[in-house]
Amino acid sequence: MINEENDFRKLDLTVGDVFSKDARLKARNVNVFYGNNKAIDNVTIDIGNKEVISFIGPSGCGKSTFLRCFNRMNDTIDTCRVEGKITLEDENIYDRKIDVVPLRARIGMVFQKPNPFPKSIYDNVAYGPRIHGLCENKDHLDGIVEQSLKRAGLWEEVNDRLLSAGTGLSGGQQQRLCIARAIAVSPEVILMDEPCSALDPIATAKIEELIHELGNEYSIVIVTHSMQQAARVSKRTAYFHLGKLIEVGKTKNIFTRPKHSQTEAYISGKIG
Amino acid sequence: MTNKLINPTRASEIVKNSIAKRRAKDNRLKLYGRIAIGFAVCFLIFLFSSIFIKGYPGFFQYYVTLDINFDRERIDPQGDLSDNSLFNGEASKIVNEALFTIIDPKGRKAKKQAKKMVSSGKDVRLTNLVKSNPNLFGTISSVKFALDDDIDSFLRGYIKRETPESERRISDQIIKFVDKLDKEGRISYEFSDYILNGSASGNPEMAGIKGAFFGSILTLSVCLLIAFPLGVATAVYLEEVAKKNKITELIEVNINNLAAVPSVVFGIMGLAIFISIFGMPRSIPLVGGMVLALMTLPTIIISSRAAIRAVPPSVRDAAYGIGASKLQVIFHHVIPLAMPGMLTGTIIGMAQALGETAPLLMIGMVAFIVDVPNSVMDPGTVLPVQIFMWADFAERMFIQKTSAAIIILLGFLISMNAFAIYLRKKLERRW
Amino acid sequence: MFNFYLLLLILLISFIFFYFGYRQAHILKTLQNQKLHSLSHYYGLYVLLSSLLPSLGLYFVLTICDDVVFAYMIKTYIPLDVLNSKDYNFNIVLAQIKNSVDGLIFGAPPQWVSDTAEIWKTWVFKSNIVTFILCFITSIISGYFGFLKINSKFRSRNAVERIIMTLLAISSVIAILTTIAIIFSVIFESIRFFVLIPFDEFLFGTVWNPQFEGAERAGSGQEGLSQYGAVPLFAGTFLISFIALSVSIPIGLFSAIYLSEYATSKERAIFKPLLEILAGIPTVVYGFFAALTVAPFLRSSGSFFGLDVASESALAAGLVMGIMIIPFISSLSDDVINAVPQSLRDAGYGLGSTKNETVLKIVLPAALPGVVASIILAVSRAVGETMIVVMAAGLAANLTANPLEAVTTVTSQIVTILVGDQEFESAKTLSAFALALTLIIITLGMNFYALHIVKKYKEQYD
Repeated sequence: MINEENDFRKLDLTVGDVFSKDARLKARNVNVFYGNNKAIDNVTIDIGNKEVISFIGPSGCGKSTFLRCFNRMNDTIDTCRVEGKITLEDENIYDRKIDVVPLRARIGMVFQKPNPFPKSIYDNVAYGPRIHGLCENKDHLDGIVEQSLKRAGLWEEVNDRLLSAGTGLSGGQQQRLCIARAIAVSPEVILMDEPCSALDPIATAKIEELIHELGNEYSIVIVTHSMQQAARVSKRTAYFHLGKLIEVGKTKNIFTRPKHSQTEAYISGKIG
Repeated sequence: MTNKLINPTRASEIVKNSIAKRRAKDNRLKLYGRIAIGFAVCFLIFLFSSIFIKGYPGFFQYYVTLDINFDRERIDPQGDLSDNSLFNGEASKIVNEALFTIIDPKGRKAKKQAKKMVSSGKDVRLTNLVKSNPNLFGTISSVKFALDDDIDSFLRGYIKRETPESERRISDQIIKFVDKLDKEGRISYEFSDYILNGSASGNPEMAGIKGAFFGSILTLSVCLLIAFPLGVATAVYLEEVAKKNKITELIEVNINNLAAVPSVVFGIMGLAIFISIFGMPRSIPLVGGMVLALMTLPTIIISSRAAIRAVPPSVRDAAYGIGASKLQVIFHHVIPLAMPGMLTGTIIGMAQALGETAPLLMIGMVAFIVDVPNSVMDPGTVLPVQIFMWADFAERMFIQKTSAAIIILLGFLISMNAFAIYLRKKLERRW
Repeated sequence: MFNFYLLLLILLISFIFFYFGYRQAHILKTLQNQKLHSLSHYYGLYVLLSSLLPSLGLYFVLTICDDVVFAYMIKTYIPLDVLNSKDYNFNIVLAQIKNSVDGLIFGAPPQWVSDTAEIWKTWVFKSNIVTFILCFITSIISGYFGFLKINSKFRSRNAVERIIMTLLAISSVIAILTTIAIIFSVIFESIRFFVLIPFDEFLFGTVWNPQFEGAERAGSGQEGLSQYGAVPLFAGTFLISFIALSVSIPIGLFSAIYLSEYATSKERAIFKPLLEILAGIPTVVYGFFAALTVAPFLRSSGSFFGLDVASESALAAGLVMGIMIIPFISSLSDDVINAVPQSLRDAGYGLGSTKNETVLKIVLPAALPGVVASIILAVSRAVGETMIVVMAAGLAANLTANPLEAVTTVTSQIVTILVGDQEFESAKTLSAFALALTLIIITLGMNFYALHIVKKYKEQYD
């Protein structure tokens, strides 16, 4: 068991395997400020290729904030300032020359509360390919829509009513629609910010199953406040506490043999 | 099953290629937005500067200084300074004589033209002077008289010397007279005492807004006295007293409808009901105020309701808790707290009413009324209607005076709105 | 003056009663040590109200009615030869008599006018006395009855509050009364119009040429002189509104989009109020500007290009009206766009949309019902606008689609017809009411439709 007093802590390093062999995204010494408040403190972590990694930690520890750094969604918040480096294939995404639009096409996002557009199911999924000009013709687009919906596990349920409103679906279906929407632009990484917190257990189970499958195609980073969910869906888990990354490791190990005392405290329910 | 989804690397490439065009579109939309706002702001600047440029000279006029022989027997033959006496006196003649001594017109035609040089209000000016200052009798003192509007236009440069006489409004002879007066330093360009003190007149140099101004004040006072209590009472009733049933819904729908009715229609209603059926006289501020009150009522009601709703329920709960009755809660607590919002809404409503023209045209406040109205039952007109009437006159000076009147009107509107905003900021509470 | 003093007297009496009521309550409390339900001033108030309200009501009824009654009664005093004359018109006669009564005498009116005026004046005098006595007595008696009610059992505060609540309710009804008054006045006269001129001729006729029939009664067989086809008026209104909208919709929408999505908060703080100023400028100022600056400018630049622009062109009026309407579209659309939830925008950005794609493909479609409603409201305003068209557009009922020509509108005709001398019986005057009726139906219809659209599509993403 490693405690505060140990060398690691003195050097303020994260415990566990922070780095991956085949990393998609590399975050190095990332600090995030809201005005003068530091929300993320010197976080370094790799997101591996085609892996599912969960970010866990008590409320307000900054996991969502950190997640949003990866696709620069924090840009939409005026007071937010990001320091450090995040590279996607050796390009720092925070470089001034980088246009944020292609970045977001490569790194997709699913939000906490399902937010389908007030359009038809078809148009929801087709939106991304349309604006990016990914299709040559209608058939191609139809194919992409179908494929996306199939991958999101929604095709069976909606293929007969593709033109009906996306907002008319149930909560779980809407979230899967949002996942399909993200898939349609062929991202490499999908970020999910507590995707099941607004859903009932059955819908949650369906989506967790889906995430498991999607992990074979995409790198998925999922923020969750449920340790059980992290245990169910992800291979790797990162534990955050008050803006610091405390420990990273195989999900199995985090939950059975955590190395850091704080991780252990969270897992056993002493904090959080 | 073939994978229709595009390979991520390929997708990324396609997106990167599309960026330039899409960014260009984005910038275009931003540009359009800026152009649109710029256009609107430019128009605003253009409108205000055009009015100001036209109207600023309207506050000034050309005057001629003459030495008047205040001969009592001639000006006030009956010696009692009564209107009758002054009317029968020779005030005009005296002024003309003073003028003739300087310019020395020769011949009947010249004399006739010369008589028209000084504004036809000269006798009134003289008699008003002696009425307020009888010490002038027996003296020879200089008095400034306004010049006729054609000469005024000439002096401003709108009527040019170079134009052939047949195309000019004033003759060569008059120009010679004017030059003479000017050489003797008797012509001055001063702040007009007519624009603010004069009333409606066919002569542009004598025209002023005094009558219209007081008419506006009287009309707005009536409007305020009717609309404010009624509006607040209705708002209080709808928000605090009435139960939500069909009748209150009906009233609410009605109020929203009234807010959407064109202003002319209110004028028609005033015409048909107040004037035809009730038999009230036309053209009086009382009827004008009543029509405007009905027009402003929806505005006041809607803003008062918003103000009342903004008072938090905790205040009411506290009052009820002490045992206050419903009306005590309303009058002792809710209304005082909501008053800033209600006042702001009322001031804005009054500002709108001040600028209204069409409904007042309908009820006849468009007659040519020279006297300043003294009460709400005297015929009168209002400032915007005065502007409307003057706008038809083509004389240059009228255009300037109309613009000057618009400046005055806009000045009032800006102050009222600024006051309302100031009140709102000052009395704003954070609950 | 008489009225003023009477009102003052009634008020004074009620104040006196207040004093007595207050004192009585006070006496009961202190001297006779009775427990009273309410504070003393409520008893005073109650007595005041019981004295004031009945007599005030009576006063208003009498004042309003006496004029109507007199008008009815004076008929018997009009000489027979006047009654039977060809150009007899009661309203004109009434106006003559009233003028004489008010002392507005121009020249030498006929003897019978002065005579009937004298009779009228004596009636006024008598009625004043009657009103005075009745109101005075009523205020005293009702005040006394109110006073009698003061005792230990009387819950004065409740009574006062009930009265005040009733007054509040009555004031709310004024709104309905106004609507009824508008409908009543317009419909009544319109019906009289449609009796003279058939409905379809009005709605579909293409020549608008009303004449004053002077002494001649309307509808006595002189068709062919006056025509009441309102189509040119509708066309004129439509043309000018169309021009106005083609100015205001682009400017308003683009401004709204910029202000809500692209502008910094500083820019927003400056430019949003600036646009609102456009709505605060009185329409007479716009009209003046249109007539004296815009129209001549168009005329001269038109001739520069070889076009013949009328001095009162639809284009001048339409352009200025368009600018006046900009805030209606920009403010309302801005509000609606801001109301679209941020989560939708986030979804769009998350997929890699540029700002304009998010706005045009996600936000605007979501805000569309509100934007459409704001456009409809702007149209309604354009149709009902009066001063700009009266001052800058013409009076010639011209059926054309050419914006460079002079046209006239429904509102402009209403003003022209009703300002000036009128005979209430003639078809010309009545036609103004028919036009007003059409105007009300169109504007109210549009407003209802706008509200309906907003309500219907509001649930979409709430």
